[in-house]
Amino acid sequence: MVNLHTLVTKIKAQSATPDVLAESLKGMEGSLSNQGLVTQGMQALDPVQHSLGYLYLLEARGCAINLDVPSFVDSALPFVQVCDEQQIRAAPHKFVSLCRKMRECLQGQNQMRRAVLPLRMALAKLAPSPESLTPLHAELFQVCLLARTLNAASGVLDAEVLEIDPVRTATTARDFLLYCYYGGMVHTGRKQYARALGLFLHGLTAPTQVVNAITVATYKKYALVSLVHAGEVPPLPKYTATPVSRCLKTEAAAYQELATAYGKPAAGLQRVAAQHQAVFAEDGNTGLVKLALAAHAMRAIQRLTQTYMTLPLAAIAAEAGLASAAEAEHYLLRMVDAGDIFAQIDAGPDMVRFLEDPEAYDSAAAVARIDDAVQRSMALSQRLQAAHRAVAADRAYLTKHMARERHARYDDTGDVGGESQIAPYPFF
Amino acid sequence: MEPEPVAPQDAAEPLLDLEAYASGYTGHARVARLLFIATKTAGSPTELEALRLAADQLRKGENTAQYAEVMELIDGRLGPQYTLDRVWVEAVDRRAATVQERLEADLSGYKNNMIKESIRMGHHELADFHYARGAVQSAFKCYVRSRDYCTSPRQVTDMCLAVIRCAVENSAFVHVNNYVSKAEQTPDAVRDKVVAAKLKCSGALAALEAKKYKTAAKRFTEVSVELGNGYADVVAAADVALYGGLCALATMERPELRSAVVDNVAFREYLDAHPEMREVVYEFYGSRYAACLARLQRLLPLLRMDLHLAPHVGLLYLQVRSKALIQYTAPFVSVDLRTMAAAFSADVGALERELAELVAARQVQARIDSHAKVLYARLADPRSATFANALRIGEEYLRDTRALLLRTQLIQHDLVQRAPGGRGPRAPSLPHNRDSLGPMAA
Repeated sequence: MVNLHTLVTKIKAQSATPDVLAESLKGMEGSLSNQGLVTQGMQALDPVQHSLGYLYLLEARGCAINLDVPSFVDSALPFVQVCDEQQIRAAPHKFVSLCRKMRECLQGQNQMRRAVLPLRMALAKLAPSPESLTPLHAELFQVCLLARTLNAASGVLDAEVLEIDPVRTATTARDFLLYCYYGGMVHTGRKQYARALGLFLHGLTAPTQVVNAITVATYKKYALVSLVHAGEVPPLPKYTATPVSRCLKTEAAAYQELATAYGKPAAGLQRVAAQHQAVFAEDGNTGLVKLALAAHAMRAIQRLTQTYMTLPLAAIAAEAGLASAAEAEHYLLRMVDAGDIFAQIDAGPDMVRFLEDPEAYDSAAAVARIDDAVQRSMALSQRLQAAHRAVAADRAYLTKHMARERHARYDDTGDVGGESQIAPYPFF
Repeated sequence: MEPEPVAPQDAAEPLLDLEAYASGYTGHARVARLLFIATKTAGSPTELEALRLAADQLRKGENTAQYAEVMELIDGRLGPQYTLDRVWVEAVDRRAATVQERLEADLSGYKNNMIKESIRMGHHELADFHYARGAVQSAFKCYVRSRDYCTSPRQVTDMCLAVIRCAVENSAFVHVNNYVSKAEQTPDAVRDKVVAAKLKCSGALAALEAKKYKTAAKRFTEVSVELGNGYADVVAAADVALYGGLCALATMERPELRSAVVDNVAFREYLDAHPEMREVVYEFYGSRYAACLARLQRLLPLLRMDLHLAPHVGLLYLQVRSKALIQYTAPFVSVDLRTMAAAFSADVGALERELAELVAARQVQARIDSHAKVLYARLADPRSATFANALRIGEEYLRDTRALLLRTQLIQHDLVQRAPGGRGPRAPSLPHNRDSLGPMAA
């Protein structure tokens, strides 16, 4: 057992060298279950100057208290915003655990909104670079989803994750899956379906030996968002882990049936959707299913623009499987508004005139768009080169590669004179 | 199968002169085709006529089992002349049993003596015997067995052709393809025009059966003129014209149609054996679509009774019609749907729907003005398309590369989900992880 004086002195003395302090604090963790010690220690320490020590005490407190004690939240919220990032990075596990506790407390008190900003700042402090993944990503997205403040996550989502460092950020495989799942959902909420699909796909194809419930849930979202965005569910890439692709047939049967029905006329689709309504509701996907059904009609209308120049509203309604001309008009207005199609409605004979896409790629905006795409591709390409070089210089990889090459060369000699094995009479 | 007493189905049936039709075939093919017609026309006079001709043919051979079947189908409807002749059946069966015994004994004798040529002959004779008795499956096996004892290319092609004949009869078209390619490797298949033509025909039939109409069309049109009606125990000359012509109309583009069918001297000879099809082809090529389609419609009941074509007629007709529509619209910038409907003798509304489907399937590059009933050709803008395509590919590259980098990182740091419990988290430098990293980086 350590007394208050030793603890505080040690923390104050070693705050400048966080790694050393983290080691010694790890040894004293047993004593931190003493609540009196923790409270007094926190009073004696400064959250900014002695962030690491403060973090240990606060986290110990969070572990001990009942979840609805507001005083913990009141000290944790300011702490994660002001703490010193150099110090807390010496104990990423503790920091993540603290943030989780904080989020759980606020969730219990139904005050999610209060967690958004502190979590965002905590994330910035923990991440070594804006592109690295932390467990706090998933936490933040979840909070944003629950608090319905999706745009608060936009900055973090836009800096796409390209680096994962489990040692420095305490990230686990589960954190990655959650990042993909919640991130995809935030994108979906913000109607950025292509990016949502990208994130979902990362989660689905993550290497794994067992199937995680998160993966299955991700697939369900992925299937529905694919239907909304592209009108079909593309098959998963070849590098998807076998257990995942194998289990989806049984785990997400309703979704696969919906995807099959999607390519067919509207009546059948409605029937399948109604048939599995209970499943969709249980997974909390009713809203997405509704969106997918609406997208089906829009897709039909979009196909019509490729086929017809003029078409009466009633015919559009019939082709798209809509109930009335008025409904078709409603869809048309929405799609023209969104820039999905280009059309004019002639109210006299109720005729719709579809126009061609006026984009001619000759404006400054188009050039800027292309330039932007080129720049991004080049940047990513450079990163790929760097990664390639890093692997090429990796000792373990080189050893393995050399061994294999030597083996291959040895095998080659066996082929000499192989032609003589071919039968001289080439009939059968 | 019990024939139902149904009134004659349609007046178009007299089109078919069964006797002339049957005379185009020999051997098993004649019986098989007649019986197929009988099943398709159950209850009509045509059925009885077909059965009568089949019975006549069978009476000349040794296939007593099929003879009994046909007699049962006739069921006394053709008078006392066509009832089961038990005495004849028993006599034939008895004779067959002795012959089979003798052949089998001969064969085992040859096998003991290990004389290759005799063994081959023995197998072959036994196979021929089975084939004549209608045991096609056994014949097939015996022919295949003789394969190991073939010594000259001639024998190989003979064996292959015999196997193919059996396989076609059994509808085992995988074997047909197999043995066609085997036979085509022998030098004989190049030298002997008739053999080559037979192989082409068989290959084409297999392609037709597999719904590969384009391949079928190509192979049928390549059949050389020397064959004539020499393959009547499988397909008649008229069939080559019919199958080849229809498949070609359904799948070939205009220049191809010209070189492979219209200007093809050999194929023209075959077309002359089937004047109806010849007219259809020339009318199609001359863009007289209404007449062509009407003629095809008249042919339809006949084709539904064709042993090999029946299951494909519907699909092929659809394709021919689409081809005609596509070719009609191709040269125009704008087409008045009413004029077009007249040219196809179709209803404007129905035509519009048909065209809409073709446009949606991107087979016709045009858009329909449903208000004015005009079809406007759509000029593709390669510049815009290129831009859009480049942007799309760029996005794909970004997405794929990001996925690659992320996966590499996950594997590198061993962030892999494992079953809980077990052996706990493993060290990151496990060999199998390095393995999965290797090919990605290389």
